Amino acid sequence: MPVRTEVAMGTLVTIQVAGGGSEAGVDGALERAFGWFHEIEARCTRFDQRSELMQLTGRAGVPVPASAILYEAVRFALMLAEETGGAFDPTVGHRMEARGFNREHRTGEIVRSRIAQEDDVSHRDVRLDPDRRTITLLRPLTLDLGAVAKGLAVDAAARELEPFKDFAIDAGGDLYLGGSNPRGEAWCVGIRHPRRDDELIASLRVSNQAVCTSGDYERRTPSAGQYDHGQNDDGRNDAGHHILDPRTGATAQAVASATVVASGAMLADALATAVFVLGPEDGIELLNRLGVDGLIVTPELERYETGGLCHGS
Amino acid sequence: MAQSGSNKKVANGLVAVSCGAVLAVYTAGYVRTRAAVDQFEAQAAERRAADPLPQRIESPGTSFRPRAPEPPAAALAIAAKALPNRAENAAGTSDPIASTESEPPREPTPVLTPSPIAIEAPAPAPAPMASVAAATAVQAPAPLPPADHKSEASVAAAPAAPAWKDGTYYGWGTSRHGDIQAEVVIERGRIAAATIAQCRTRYPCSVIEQLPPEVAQRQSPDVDYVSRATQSANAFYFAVVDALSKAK
Repeated sequence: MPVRTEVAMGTLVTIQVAGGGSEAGVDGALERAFGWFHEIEARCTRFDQRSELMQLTGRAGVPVPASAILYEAVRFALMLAEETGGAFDPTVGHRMEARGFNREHRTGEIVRSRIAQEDDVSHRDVRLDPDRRTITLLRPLTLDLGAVAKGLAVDAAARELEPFKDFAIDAGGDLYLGGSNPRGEAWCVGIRHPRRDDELIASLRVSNQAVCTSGDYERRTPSAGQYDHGQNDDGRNDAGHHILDPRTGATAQAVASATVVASGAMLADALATAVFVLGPEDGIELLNRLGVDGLIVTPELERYETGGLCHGS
Repeated sequence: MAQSGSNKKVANGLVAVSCGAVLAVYTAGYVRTRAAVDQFEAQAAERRAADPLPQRIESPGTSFRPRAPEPPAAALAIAAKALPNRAENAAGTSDPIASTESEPPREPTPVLTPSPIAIEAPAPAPAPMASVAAATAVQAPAPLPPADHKSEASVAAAPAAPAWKDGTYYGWGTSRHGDIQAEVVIERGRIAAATIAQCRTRYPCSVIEQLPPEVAQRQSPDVDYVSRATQSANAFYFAVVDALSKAK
C-alpha cells in the first residue's frame, strides 16, 4: 500500500494508494500527482516574485496571457467572489501581506509585492478575456489564490490516481478520498474539534469526494496569541487567524470551523473559506443553493449543517 | 430556502466551472506531458532508423515508426521538429542520411545546427504541431512551404518564404518547464527581429539567449536545440510559431 509524503504549498502532502489497481504504474502516478502540487504552487504562489501570479501583479492595466492553471484558478475565484457578494475575494493578497502572511514556507524569506495597493480593490478590478485567455488587473493589486490553488492541485492529483480507484490525498487538511479505504468501506474523515485539539467534533463518511475545513485554529499570525485570548493592543478582539473578511478587511469572527464536502477540493476549499466569512446562516444557505454539503461550528460550539452529510465512525 | 432563478443559475455554473477548470488544467498538462514523452520517443526512433526518414518527410501521413503502427499526430509533428537533431550528425558532409546511418546513436551535442532538411521539417505536419503547443491556440502552420528535402539550398536564403504582414507580433510557447512569450517584428515582409518577451520557465531564459537572433537569420522559427535546455528551446520555438501565425 504505497504512501508518500512531500512538502508542498506550505504544508505536508500525503498520498496513499489503497489498492484496487495493480501495483504497476503506482510510482509514476504518484510522481505525476506530486508534480501537480509543485507545478501549481510554482505558478500560483504569492511567495515568489517570479511566479506567474506575482508577475501579473506588476503589470496592472495590461492584458497578460495566462497559463491554463492560473487562468482557471482565477476564473473560478472570481466567479465565487461574484456568487458570495465579495465574502470570498481573491484580491485580498495585499491585506494578507500586511497581516504578516508573507513568509515563504521553505526559505523563511519575507516576500512583499512592490506595489502600492489601495484598500478598496476588489474582484471587480480583475478582468478575464476567455478568447485570448488573458487576465487584466484594472488596478495594482495582489491576487491571493491560497484557498483555490491547493484544492486545484488536489483535484489534478486525484485525476492522476483515478486508475487506482481507492486512494486518499491529504494536503494539510484539504482531503480527497477516492473509492474506499483498505477495509473496503467508505473513507471516514474526522473533523477536528475547533477548541479541543485531541477531539473530533464529527466523523463523516465520504467516497470520491473532497473534504476541506477552514478553522480559526490554523495558520495564526506571528503576533496572535491563542484563540481564547486573542486580544489586540487596541482592545479589539482579533483572533489573528488567516481568513479575512474581504468586505471589511477584518478577521472573520462568526465561525470557528467550516467544513465542506464537495465533488472536488478546489470547490470544497474555496467554499469552506467563503462560508467561514459568511457566517453560519448565510453559509448554510449558500451551500444549499449550490447543492453542496457542509458543517459549520460557531465559536460558541453551535453546529449548523446541511441535510446531506453522512455521519459515521 | 426560496431562491431566485438567477441565483440558481449562477450557483450551478459555479460547480460546473470548478469541474471544468480541473479538466482544463489537467488536459493542458496532459498534452504537455504527452508531447514531451512523444518527443523523446521520436528522437530516439529517428536516431535508430535513418533509412525511412526521407519517406517520412515526403508523406507525413504515413507511419514513420515501424514499431509504432499508429503514431499520434503530435508525435509526427515532434518528429519533424526533431529532425535538426539527426541532421546535425551529418553537418559538413554531402550525404546526411548515409552519414547518420554510419554513426551509432549518441546524445545530442550542445548546439545543433540545422541542415537544409531541417528547415522544411515542420511544414509537412503543421496542424499537429499546433496541438503540441498545448493550451494556447496555435492555428497557423510553420511559415515555410514544403521544400525538396534533397535540396542543398541554404537555409538562410529561403527566398520562397511567404511575406508576413509588417508589425510586431506576440506568441506563447509551452513546455513542461514553463512558458515563453516571443516577440517577433516583421518589416517589409521579413522577420526583422525576434526576442523573448516574457520568460516564465523554471530556469532563466539566459540558457537559450543564443536562439532569438537565429529566427531573423534563418527567417524561420526553426532554432537550434540546446543541450540541457531542450524544453526551453522548444517553448521558444512554439512561441515564435504562434507569433508568426498572427502575421499571416
